[in-house]
Amino acid sequence: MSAIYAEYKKHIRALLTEYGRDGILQGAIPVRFSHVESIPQDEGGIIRARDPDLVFRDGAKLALYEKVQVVNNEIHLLNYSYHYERPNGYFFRYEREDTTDTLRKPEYHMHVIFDLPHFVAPPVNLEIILKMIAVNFYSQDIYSRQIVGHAINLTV
Amino acid sequence: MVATGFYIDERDMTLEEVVEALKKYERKYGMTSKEFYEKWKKGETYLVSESVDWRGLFEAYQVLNGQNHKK
Repeated sequence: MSAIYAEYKKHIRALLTEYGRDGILQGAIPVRFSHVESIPQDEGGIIRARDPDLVFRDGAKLALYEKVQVVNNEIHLLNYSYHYERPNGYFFRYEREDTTDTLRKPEYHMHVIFDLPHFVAPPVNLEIILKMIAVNFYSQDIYSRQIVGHAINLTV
Repeated sequence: MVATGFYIDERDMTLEEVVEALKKYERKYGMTSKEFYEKWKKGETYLVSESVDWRGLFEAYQVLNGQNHKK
């Protein structure tokens, strides 16, 4: 196996372990791997945690999907989807997806509350997503307290 | 903050798991994975929330199913 891909898998494991130790993630943290034809075996593949998802201490969930390939000794996230959803249905989802309509569906995009539209977004990774979730929804500071617990009622 | 315990459950996906996940999407959206893939290539899957995952699973299925046939 490519040492770089093996190291990346270790990195993912370490990240999830860190958030488990902090008490933010809890229970089984299911991580699944698979190869795909388009990537030489052991140079990458799919990393997935979905059905069951990662579970947070308040019952929120994160569905994780990454398609990863080592290129020039670096990890590249070819596609990804990070879908965070709170128990009341509020969600956001950051994705990198191949597209032909770069205005309506930018390659790097995010969804908030609804599946449409696809808002343009910066590239992210699991580390950024977990940090962002932790600071916004699981910290004890005033900023977090002004987010969690607020209800919304929207019609577009 | 109280940790309630966790453990990392890490392994390779099995063909059965992939098939089950694909069937779940096929039931939810009323089309086969092949039909989804064709629509995805034409950019017609805006309303499939899990399109990234579905496409990846379909790729994984092709590898795992191929390995299964070689056995």
